[in-house]
Amino acid sequence: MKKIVTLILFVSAIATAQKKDFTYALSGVNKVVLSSDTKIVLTAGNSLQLVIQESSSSHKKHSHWHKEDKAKEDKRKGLTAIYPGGKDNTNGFGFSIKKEGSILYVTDLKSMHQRHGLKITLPKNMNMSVDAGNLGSIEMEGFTGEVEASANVGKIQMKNVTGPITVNANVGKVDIDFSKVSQKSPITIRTSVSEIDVALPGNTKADLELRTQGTVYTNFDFEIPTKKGMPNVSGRKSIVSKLNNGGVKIYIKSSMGNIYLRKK
Amino acid sequence: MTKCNEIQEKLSQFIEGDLPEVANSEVKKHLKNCDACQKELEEIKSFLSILNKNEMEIPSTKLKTNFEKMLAQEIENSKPKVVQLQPKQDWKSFLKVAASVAIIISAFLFGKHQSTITKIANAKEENKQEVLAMLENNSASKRILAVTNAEEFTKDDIKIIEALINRLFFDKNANVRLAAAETLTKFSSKEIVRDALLKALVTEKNSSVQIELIYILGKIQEKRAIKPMEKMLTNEETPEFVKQEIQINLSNLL
Repeated sequence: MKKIVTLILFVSAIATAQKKDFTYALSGVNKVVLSSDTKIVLTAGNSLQLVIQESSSSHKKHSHWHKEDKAKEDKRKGLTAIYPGGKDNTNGFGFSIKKEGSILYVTDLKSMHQRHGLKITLPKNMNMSVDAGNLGSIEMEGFTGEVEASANVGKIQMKNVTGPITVNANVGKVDIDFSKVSQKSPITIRTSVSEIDVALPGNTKADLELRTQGTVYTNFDFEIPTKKGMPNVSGRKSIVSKLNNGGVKIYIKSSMGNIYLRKK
Repeated sequence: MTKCNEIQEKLSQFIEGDLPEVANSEVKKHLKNCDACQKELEEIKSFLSILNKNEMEIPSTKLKTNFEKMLAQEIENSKPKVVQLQPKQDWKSFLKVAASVAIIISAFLFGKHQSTITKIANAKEENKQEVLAMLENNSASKRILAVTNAEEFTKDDIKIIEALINRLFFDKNANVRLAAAETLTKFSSKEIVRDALLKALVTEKNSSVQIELIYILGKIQEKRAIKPMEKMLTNEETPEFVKQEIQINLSNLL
């Protein structure tokens, strides 16, 4: 019993020691444009608000610097942080939030050296454009809105999404698991070097175009038309095929990475 | 003689029995003595008898029926005239109304026909406007859709080509830039397109777009690309996989 009480106390102490979340009401917003250079984990929420949380892992790393932090806080008294990327209007969270029409721009002003991951909650059906900069990565789950995601070195991972999805990665892996495929507008997934791993429900209706100089692996039954004529000099060939009599266009293209297309 | 004149004046009255008693006997007395007056009396009597004999001629019933017949005929003759006049008026006004209705309908149909002609003619124009508008859409996926739809337009549609070039240079989404580059390849016979692709190779920072551009410039045999490609090969910042693509395509160009 004593153990349990101390454990509860310990946990609650950690919880209270953590920085509070930053929330922003999203009334009248239909798209969130987010950019940060760190690991961004997006979760689908039910309330119409944006919640930004610094990852708890960063807190752990910082915990032994607690004293130092306090001394720093004293130093900051009466001063405000200014950033080259814009003005912090998130109460010291280091973000610039700007609303233009129905689009909300959320820009991380702190550099990747100061961030150790962000946890962001957005409404399930929100349209979003996420840019993980050079080194940041993106992870998300359960979104039904339109998603644009780009990263350079970091990986992009999506689970239970429906699209439309526009992904561009360079070196980082792309892993997308569709729960359903929206027929609204095209899905485009492109990388330079990294592999692309896409899982689609077996009944997905789509016009598929796959292209890579790597190899395509799949368990879908493709009718691959045998082309006659001039041989392709550069070795670039597209695989164009209809899934379940065709539907929304899905482009999966990589310059050199392998493509894995899975049937769920 | 004067007496005779007076008597003869009274004779007609005498015959009718209209004379007073005294004058009557006076006339009788004179008539017995005067032959002339006797003669006059006879003449008047005979004249009157003729008048009496001559009965009033009563028009025959035939005349009446004839008249009625004629009247009926006349009515009948005039009736169709009236009847004829009425429809004649109607016919005219109907003609007028019909003509105006016909004019309106034909004008409407002509206008409609004209509009369908212009519609057919402008279907492409509308489609073009739609594509141009969609190229500015907030959604990257929609912009990609617009870029791929732009393929359907002809090489001479400079507005579409300019909009695509604009996407190639300024779209913040790399996938849209890639799609624009791919679509522009189909218009590569245009000098403006070749220039744009060449310029994009120098300005583009995203390596997947760079790779696409290198591939396209190699495919369309743009010799002017050799120099910037060689420059990229010597640039330390150029990723190794981009250099690889350059080496493949450079050998095709040289």
